Amino acid sequence: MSVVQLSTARRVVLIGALLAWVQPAEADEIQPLIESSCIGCHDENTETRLDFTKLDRDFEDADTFRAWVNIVDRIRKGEMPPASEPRPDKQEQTAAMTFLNKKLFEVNRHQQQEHGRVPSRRLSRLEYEHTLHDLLGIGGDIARYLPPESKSGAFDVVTAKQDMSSVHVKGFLKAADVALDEAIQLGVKPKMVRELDYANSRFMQMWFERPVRMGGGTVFRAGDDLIMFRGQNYNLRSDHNGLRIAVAGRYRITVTGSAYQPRSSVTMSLRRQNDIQGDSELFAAWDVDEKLRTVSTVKYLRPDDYFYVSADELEPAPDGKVIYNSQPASEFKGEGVRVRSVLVEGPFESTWPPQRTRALFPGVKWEPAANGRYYKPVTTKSHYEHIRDAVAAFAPRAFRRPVTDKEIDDVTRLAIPSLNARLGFIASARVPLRAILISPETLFLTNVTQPEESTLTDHALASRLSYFLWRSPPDKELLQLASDGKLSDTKTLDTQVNRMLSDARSDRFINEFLDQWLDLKLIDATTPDKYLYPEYDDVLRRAMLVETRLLFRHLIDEDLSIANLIDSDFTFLNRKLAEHYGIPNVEGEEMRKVTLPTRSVRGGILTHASIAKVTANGSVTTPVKRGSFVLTNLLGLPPNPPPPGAGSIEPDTRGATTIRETLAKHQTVEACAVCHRRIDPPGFALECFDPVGTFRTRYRISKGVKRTADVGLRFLHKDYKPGRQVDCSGQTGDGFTFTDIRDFKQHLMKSKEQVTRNLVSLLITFATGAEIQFADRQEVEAILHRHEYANYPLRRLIHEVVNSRMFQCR
Amino acid sequence: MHTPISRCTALRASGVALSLPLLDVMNPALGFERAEQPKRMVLICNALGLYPPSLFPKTSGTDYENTEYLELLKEHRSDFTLFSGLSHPDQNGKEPHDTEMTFLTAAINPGLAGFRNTISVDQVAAMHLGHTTRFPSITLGSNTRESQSYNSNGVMLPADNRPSRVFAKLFLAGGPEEQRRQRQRLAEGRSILDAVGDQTKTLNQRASDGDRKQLDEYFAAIRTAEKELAASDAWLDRPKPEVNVEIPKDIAEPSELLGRIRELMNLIPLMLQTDSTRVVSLMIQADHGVPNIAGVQSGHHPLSHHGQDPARISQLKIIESGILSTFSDFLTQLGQRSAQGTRLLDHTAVLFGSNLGNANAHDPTNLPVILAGGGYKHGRYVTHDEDRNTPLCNLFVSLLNNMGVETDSFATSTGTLQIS
Repeated sequence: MSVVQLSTARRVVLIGALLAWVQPAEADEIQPLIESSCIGCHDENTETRLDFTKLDRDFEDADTFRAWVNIVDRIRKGEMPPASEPRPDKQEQTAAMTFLNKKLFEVNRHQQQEHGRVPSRRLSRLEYEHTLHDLLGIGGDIARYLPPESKSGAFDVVTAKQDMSSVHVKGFLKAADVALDEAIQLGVKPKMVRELDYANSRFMQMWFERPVRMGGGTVFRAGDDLIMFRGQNYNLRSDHNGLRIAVAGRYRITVTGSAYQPRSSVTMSLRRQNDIQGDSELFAAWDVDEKLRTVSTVKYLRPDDYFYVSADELEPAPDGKVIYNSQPASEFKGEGVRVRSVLVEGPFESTWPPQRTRALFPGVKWEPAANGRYYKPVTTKSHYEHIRDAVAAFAPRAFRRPVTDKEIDDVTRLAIPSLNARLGFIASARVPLRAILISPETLFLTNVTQPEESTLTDHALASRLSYFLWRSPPDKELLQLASDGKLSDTKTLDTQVNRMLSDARSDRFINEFLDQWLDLKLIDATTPDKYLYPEYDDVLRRAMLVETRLLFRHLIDEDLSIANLIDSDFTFLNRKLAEHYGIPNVEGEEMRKVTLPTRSVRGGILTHASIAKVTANGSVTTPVKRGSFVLTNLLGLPPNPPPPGAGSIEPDTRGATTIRETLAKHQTVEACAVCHRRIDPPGFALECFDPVGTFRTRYRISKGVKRTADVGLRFLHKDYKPGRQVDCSGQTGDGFTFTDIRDFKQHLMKSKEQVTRNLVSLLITFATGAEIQFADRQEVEAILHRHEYANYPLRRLIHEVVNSRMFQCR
Repeated sequence: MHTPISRCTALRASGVALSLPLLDVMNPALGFERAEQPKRMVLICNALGLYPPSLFPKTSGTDYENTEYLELLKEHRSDFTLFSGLSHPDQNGKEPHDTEMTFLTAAINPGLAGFRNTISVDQVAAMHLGHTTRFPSITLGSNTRESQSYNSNGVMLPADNRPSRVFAKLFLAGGPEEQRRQRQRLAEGRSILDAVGDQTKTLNQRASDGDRKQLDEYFAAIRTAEKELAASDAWLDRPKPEVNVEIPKDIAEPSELLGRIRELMNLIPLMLQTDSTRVVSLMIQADHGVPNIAGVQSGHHPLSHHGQDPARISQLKIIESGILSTFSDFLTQLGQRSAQGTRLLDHTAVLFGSNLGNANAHDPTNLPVILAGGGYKHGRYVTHDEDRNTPLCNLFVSLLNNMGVETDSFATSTGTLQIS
């Protein structure tokens, strides 16, 4: 009672003092703190974004709620009141914080119970691709038919950031059409084994004979072998050398080859290109020496794809000559690759028409048409009934739940106009199948709950689980468990999570989670200068990405501490990446676990070349970008955006000033220093890695070699000399002094709880489609608390995510 | 030096007479003459570049001195601007000729692992115009079906390389069977969307309010998509324009490089005049063989790698002069005045350029870029920094704005390029 009276008394005084004061809805525990410690700056004359005279207590309002959460966070972190101001009264602060924490929790929790924590969301474009792959047994890039996801920084599954437009609808329609084209194969059975005989191909003959000026001269024939000195795509391409891919499917490509006149490492690679689809890809890369080596890879190929054997890391002749000024090719002394044979087997189908086609039409048999050019259905009942069977089999898989007879009939009916127009069985059946593939039941993950509860039904849970770890629909086993009502059992769930993580489909989770969390998807966003960083190529690029993915995979498989993300005494390397890192005795193209030498700078994701690359800007690095990456992506404590008109830093690539000198203002001007004393230091520590992840003690600067290409064809790019020394030392915002990245990682290790908090929050976001809300924090903290003793093992944390209320409720 | 190939030779090679004067061939009953002329764009890429010393003058501005190549375009001097110092950044691909894929898209690193093409500038304009015309865009190719146009997913829109097919597509009514199939296909799409729309509504009734927003958005998107399909459907019921010209004959021999280019170019004024489309791209590519032009003994591509051999350079110049003469005739057609005194050229921005600045060295910088017509003030040679090129996309942004697309950026643009 007395509390209320006191507060009332205070309010009377306040009304007297401040006429413009907006009345709080009630006297509460927050007001004393505001008056004693906040209002001095945050009143109606404030230059900040917070004005307590205008902030009411309507916590149900989303904007007001967010403002109060922000206030709580700033006070909790000790950022407010600022260090320059007197400390707030302890009791006042505790009272305010207790009140706010409780209130904000209750309001948010209540909203979650009323409306659900997560709204339904559509499948991301990659999820849609995986869905079509798994439902129809096909492969290849299908996501390309859908518009790119918005680049808002959040995960592509976060509902709040997902767009929807007619462009998406037409994209889904087109993607479904393309997918059905590939799934329904009724043409002639293609030839299963073919050899690409480069040495005797008519097309190659042309290149052997042509002088270098006419585009030839970079390849020659030695007996039954072909020797090449460049990795170009135009003469060894499969389509011009007698191989046309008749049918989309999986093919094994086996190459026998060796290095020709090697003096150092030589890579023989296999690439795919598609000029129509406008994309290209490194299929495989193998280390080769003088001995012939037979290697193979299995890949999905489409009819308009071509592939070609290529060569990388080729050095010019000892006298510095390149193939273009050293003719004939047979006399050239530089490194090359010898190709003896290329064998193509496939498409891999155990039966014809392929199993994926048969599976779509249960009960239909197939026989060759009279002219032998295609297969036709042998039907035992009306076409309509056969199509109904197809729909009845397909819809439950796509909708991820049992479907009613009415639903089946409604969809099947779409085939009637085509059947009436006598367009044929397949053309008619495609209409309902396409409709299923763009149905909202397929495209949207809705959060259907148990009656009167906020817990998901077993089928909704199965969908959430499989889209989390496989990014595609639940398989038979998950659907069966859901139908039996067993899936939500904790033990069953744990078993299923383990099974799913062992399945190759979980690579999609790892790749796509890391692509978005660590910005690995931006690996090609900028290009290092070819002359300054000639070592960066496709083969290295791939090894870089794989290192980071394998580390994450390893932590899951072995249930190791996430502290290994900050620093570890091992990493994953092949010969190429090990050479890049200067680590000896790693041979071959296979990526494997390697124990790092003591005192190595490597270990932990911040030392990965992939991270150095995505946090660089073309040929330059800036501590600001890298520092921000550490704070935002690793720690989950993003710095505030720069004030308007702050301008950007233009690094000096000629080497006259170092980046440290350029950034001096960040420390001397207080308005900058407020944030930059937190942002820049991690970036200073990471200055030891150049834009492609090479460890450096000096910056590379251009020697100013004239780069015009008038004198001949470009082949070898190298133009740099050591410039000024790199300074990797600094002092963190909390006063820790470091001299290099090793020191810095030791310091960062103290923040492993925060790194875990960030990672667990991101996993929950990725798994559920909604970011962590105020009412979720307690549960996240509880998860951290339970695993502190074991140093936060990653696999157990994934189990915790799946077992959490956030995951299992709508 | 004067080019040994005369226009007469080129005309003979093309197999048909130049279809002039343009307006007489149109059927006035269909009302092609419009009160207000729409904006159009024609984008031509000559994939093997133009020999730079024969193209670029020594001095810039309005009183530049004609070079050998510009002499071929002299009658259009006041109708075009020549640019130097423009290019797309980061075009170091697997193969230098891979920049053929990116001349209109500016996607970086063509051919390297992870390469993914992006939308081309003509398709941005085509999407903006939608089904205003029967064909949102027409893509042409002189040799193969490789075009320069890529849709918003980075997928190539294959080029039409047979003039007779293009003509049929534009001006001849399809057979009843073909029309029926086309209608069926559109009807199928619409009935699927209709059914899915119904499903979405049903699902929405079951959904909680939290779910409803997403489903409502999907429903609205489906309705819009249906309307768009209907818009393209509607063209099926409208008769195609009639033109009084003979159906062009296809030239099968790839060696007839100039004739093939001319046949395709002849169709462009027709399609613009009839407002069948407002966006056209044309890819000029060499065949592997030796072009049938007097004085040329080697293939176009091998000659482009002339290695500074004067004999080879002179042969290359014969080919390039032929292409430029053909282009000059094309501008002449667009520049004809109608009875109302208007010129197509004044409403049609014509870009003639290449993905290679110096084909001998596969250099994708300092591209040759000629911009004609489009209502701009021309007659100048505009130079940009040879060492630090200006993004060609800056020019593309200006072209898009000219087409009515409100944007301040495209691909690698850093601003807009002021023309005149």
